[in-house]
Amino acid sequence: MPDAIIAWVAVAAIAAPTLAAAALGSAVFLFGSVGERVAHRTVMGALGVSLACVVFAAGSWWTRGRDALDLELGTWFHAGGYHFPLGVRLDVVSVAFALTVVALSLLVGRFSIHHLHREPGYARFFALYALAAGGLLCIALSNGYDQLFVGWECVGLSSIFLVGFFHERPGPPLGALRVLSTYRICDLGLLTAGVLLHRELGSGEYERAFEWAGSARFEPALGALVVLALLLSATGKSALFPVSGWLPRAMEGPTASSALFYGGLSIHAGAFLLLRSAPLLLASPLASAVVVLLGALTAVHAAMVGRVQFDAKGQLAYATLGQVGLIVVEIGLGLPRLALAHLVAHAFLRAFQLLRAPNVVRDAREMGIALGRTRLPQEGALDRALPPRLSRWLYRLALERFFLDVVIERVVTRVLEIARAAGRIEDWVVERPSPLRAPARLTRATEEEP
Amino acid sequence: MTFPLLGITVLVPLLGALAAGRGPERGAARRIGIRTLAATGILGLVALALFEPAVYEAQHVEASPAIPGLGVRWALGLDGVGVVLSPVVSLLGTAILVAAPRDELTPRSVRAVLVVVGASIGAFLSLDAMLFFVFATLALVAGRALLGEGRLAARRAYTATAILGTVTLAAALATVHGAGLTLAFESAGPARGTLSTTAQAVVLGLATLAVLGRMGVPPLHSWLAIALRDGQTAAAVLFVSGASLGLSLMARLPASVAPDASPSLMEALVVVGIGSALYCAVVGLGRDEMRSAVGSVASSQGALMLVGIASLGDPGVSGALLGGLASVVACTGLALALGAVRARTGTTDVVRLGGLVRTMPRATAAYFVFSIALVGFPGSLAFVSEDLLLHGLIETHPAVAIALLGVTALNGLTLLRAGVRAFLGPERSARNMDDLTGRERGIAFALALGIGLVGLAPGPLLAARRTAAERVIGEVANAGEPSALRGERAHPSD
Repeated sequence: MPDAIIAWVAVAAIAAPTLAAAALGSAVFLFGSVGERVAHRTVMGALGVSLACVVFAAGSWWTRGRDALDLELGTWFHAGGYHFPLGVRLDVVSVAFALTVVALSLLVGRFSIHHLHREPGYARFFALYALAAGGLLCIALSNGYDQLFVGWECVGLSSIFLVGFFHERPGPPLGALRVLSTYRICDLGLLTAGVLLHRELGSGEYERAFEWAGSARFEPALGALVVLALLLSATGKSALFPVSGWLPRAMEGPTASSALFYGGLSIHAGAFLLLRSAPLLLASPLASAVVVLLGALTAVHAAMVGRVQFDAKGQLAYATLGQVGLIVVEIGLGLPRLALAHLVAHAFLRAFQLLRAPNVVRDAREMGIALGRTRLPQEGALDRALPPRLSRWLYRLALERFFLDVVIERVVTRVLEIARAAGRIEDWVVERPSPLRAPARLTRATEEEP
Repeated sequence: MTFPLLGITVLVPLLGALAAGRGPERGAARRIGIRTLAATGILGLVALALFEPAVYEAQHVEASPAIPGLGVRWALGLDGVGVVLSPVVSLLGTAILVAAPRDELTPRSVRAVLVVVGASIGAFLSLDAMLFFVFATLALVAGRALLGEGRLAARRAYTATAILGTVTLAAALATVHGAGLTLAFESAGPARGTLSTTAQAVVLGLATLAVLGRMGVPPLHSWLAIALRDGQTAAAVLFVSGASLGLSLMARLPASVAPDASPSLMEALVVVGIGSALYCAVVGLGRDEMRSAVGSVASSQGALMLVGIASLGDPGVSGALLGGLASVVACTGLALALGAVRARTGTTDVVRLGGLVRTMPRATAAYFVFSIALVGFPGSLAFVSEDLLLHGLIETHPAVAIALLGVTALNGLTLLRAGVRAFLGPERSARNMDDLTGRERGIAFALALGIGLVGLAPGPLLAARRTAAERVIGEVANAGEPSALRGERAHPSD
């Protein structure tokens, strides 16, 4: 099978849901409303096309001996000596993640058809859902950090608007703002890594970066900087310590989007980014150590905070985070195959649990009725081993989510205060009374608001 | 004798302004304005179709002898800068007249829009610096009428910046003229006279100040935010005109005026530009008034475009030229969306808004689409522009490249945060209002589609601007050669 056909089929997998999102969004904008059947059939049909394309591409890769396939498609744009390349990379990491994306997208999408029936914004949900699926496939199948960034942004944008889906309540928009701020700041890491690689190699393609990592030209300091920049980006997307505060707030969105994003796929995108960059981590022991440390901190933080959550989705959010932390540890320790298997299995498990989350309370009540009693939670072995004072202190630390939200809010408040002060100074300079102003009796009428 | 396509393109909106001003009623004036600008846009597209991207020299030149004593020469031509700006600015003006709230569009406002657009096109197509100056000043004077009656702060800020910009540009041209030269933006070639490096630096510095004022870049930026806040919705054309004129002048000046002095001055402009962009991005973050916030973001993005020009390298220059287009289209879309909000609610202050999505879902969508288009969401023209800017700075100014990332992150945060606060969440007060009308919806969709299509396939646009970029880089890069410039000694017979 010619490389070009495989490459274009892989592109079709990305393009189908993206075009579906654009078409659905345009139709809703222009015509006001789109029927539920049209909305979900458009998106599910596009995802079906994606599934077929990904299976075809995966099969072609498999029959080629399962070596990494870098397929170039051409150039998106160019100017001077620079060009933005388009291409597809097929290897075990990208194929596994792409198959996970389409499978989960189809399953959760099928669930959403009835779960969101008669919900205002049904078509909007499916348009954002399709955009997210297209973005995730772009992340999975890209052949370089430049192209990965395109998918990264699509996933981020759709995530923000799905968190704020139930916009009539005050909580979801605030949650969306938190997600937006975190993503926007942390995504600087991915861009910085791209800048550094372009400066050193003239390219952001994986193959060039991995060759560089394994060559004598590799500079450890620069390599570590690249990895740490990627880690910053992964931290935001995967809600790693210390920016994990957005994750429980993101659970305000529809159950289906919580399952796809924060159980299944988007939450693992950061881990995928690090997995994708495994050769760079391997060449940078110091940066790898930081990755391991961050993953471990995330796992400990999530385990503690998750134990004091009082709602099912909150507990699941932190349970997810704990496992993501462990996946990141595995990646940092140089165990990519284990991490990949862990990621795929965890994505399916957690997506299922989140889809079931609204029923958890009912299930627990029915179980209690069936058993004829209510059981109080029992102390674990760790609780019995710790001194009571330390146990209480840890409990308080977990309840306050390690005080991370307080710190972040103080930083944000300070930045906003500076911004507002600068704005007030500007307004004073521009709008202060001028000595050349006309007499008051002539100005009063002209200065009144309409 | 060739058909004077360019002259007609310039004159049509100016004649339309005369006709619109005579109309007794608003509707008639508005219809005349729309038809005039649409026709101008079509003429601009015809010129674009006739343009040959590979030709370095100015094309379809229409010139006449200089007016004795004034040093002004009617000389119009197509180059990589003006060929795209002319139809774009015309069509944006059309969009504004179609979609702006009708009660704002008095015959005086329509006339002002027509004159601003016509004069701007005249400046884009000018091959003579004095002619450029005349058209640019005409656009400035006419634009004041769009700031609304009684908006003292806006009119004062605008007037002060306009005077400063006009005076500095006039001083720059006077310096050139005083050296016995006339300044032409025409085709490249061996110089026919020289200015000393010091004189070149003075001229370029003065002209750059004028550019900063036109584009609303610090320290001459305050007028933009306040004009968008206090002016009519149609005041967006001031930004369209100003940003386009500023960029077109900046793309021509270094090669034409100061090839020897440009490298060091442009280096300073890179630093000033990125500092200005960062400053405006921070100020915008603190704005609760959405139109002011858009103005601050527009100033910030404008500063980034100047950084791209000042990088004196392709792809930075190409990125800047594209970015100017992306900014003006997206800002027009934002101005129209917020104009619709203000017309229905009386305010665009996020503190007083909230939950607008329930009654204005399309306005909400339009706002968010143009916000992400302005700050470079993948698929938009601004993404291509910023990517090119970034890679134009990586080699020579890596720290500036990193700072550029921070600026775009902050600008995106500003616009999206304001949108979430204004359009989502509980409603602050009971409102019963209509969403975007059919014409507003159509214009918003057309603008968004344009940004998206060109963003996905920017090749033709990049090709059209190639010669402009090459001139900025090539002429200045050859500055070491004697007589690398563009002036000619004034001759009584010219």
